[in-house]
Amino acid sequence: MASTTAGTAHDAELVRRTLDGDRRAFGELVRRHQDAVFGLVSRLVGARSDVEDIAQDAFLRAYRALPTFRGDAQFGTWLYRIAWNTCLDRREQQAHRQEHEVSLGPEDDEDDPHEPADPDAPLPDEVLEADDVRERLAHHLGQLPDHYRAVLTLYYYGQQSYDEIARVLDIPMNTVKVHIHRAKAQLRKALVAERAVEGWTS
Amino acid sequence: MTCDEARRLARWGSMGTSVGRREKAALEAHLAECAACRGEVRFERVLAETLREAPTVAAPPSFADNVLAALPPPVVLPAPSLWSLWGWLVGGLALAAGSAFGMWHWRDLWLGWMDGWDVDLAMQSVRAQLGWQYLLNELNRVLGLLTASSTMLTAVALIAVAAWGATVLAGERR
Repeated sequence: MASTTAGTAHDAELVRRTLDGDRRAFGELVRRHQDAVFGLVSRLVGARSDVEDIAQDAFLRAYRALPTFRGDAQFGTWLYRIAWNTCLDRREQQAHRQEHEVSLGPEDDEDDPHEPADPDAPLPDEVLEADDVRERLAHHLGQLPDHYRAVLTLYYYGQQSYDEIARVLDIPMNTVKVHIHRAKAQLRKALVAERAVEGWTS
Repeated sequence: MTCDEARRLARWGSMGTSVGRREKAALEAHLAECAACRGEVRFERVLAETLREAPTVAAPPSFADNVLAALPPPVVLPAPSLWSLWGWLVGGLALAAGSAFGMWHWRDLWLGWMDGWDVDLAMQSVRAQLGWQYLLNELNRVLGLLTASSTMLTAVALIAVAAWGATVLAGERR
C-alpha cells in the first residue's frame, strides 16, 4: 500500500473531519483503504468466508480508536495494525484451528527425515522449475505460523519497510528481519522436503 | 558485486522497485557465475509473485455503506439551551448576590457572634497570632461602606456579564 504524500494528507483531513462528526468522511476513508485491507486479510486468514467479517470488524475498531490516532504514522500503517490484531483475535476464537497450526510450527518438525542440512541452501533448479511451484508455495505459505505469514505478506505484498512492519506487528525491527529469514528458510525446507518425498516415492 | 548486494538488488526488483541499467547488468553478470544467487533470486521472484497474485476476496461494492451502517451511534451531547444556561447562571448569581446582601444586612448578628465566639484560650492565641481580629474588623469596615444600592448594582452588572458570556457560549456550541 504505497501512499503518496498527497494521499496521506488527504487521509489526515478525512480523519479530522470524522473526528468532527462527519461520518461520510469515514466512509471515504473506508473506500480508500478497503482494497488494501481485504488484500491483507485475505492473505493472513485462510478462510475466505471470514475475510469480509474481519475487514468490517477492523474498520469498526478503527472508527472507535480514531481519537487515539496521533498521526505520527501513516493512516494505512495504523489501519494495517488494527487489521492484524483483528485477525489474531479471530484466530484465538478458532482454537482448534490454531492448535493445528501450532503443530506445524518450526519447533515441531525437527525429526523430519527430509530436512535439508542447511535451510538457507539454494533450492535445486528442479524445485523452482516445477510447473506447480506457485501452488505448492501458496500451500506452504498457508501452513506457516501467523507471524511468519504476516511479515512475508507485509513485506512482499504490502511493500512495507522493516520499520513499518515492526510498527504494524508491534515487534522490534530485528525480529521482523529474523522472522522474514526464518519464514523463507521454512518455505525452502518444505519445498525441498516435498520434492524429496516425491522422488523417493516415484 | 557481492552475493549480498546481488540478493538485495534482486529482492528490490522482485518487489517492483526499478533497478538502474548498470546495476541490472552487474546483477546479471553475477548471476551468470553464481548458482547459489541464481537460485535465491528465482526463489525471491516466485515468492513475491505468489504473494502478490494470491487469490483474494474483493470488497463488495456496498462494503463502505455496510461499515457506515454498523458504526455505533455518535455520542451526541445535548446542546444546552440558551434559556437553560441563562436560568442557571442568573439563578446562581442571584443566589450569590442575595447571600452577600443577607450577610451584609445581618452583619451585626454574625460578626458579633463570631466576635464573641466561645473558644478556648489556645485558640484565641492562634487567632491573635494570625490577625484574626484584625481581619474581622476590616471585613466589618468594608461591608459598612457598601450600601444596598451599590450591592444591587454590582450584582446586576455581574448578571449582565454572565448572561452575555452564556449567550456567546451557547452560540458557539450550536
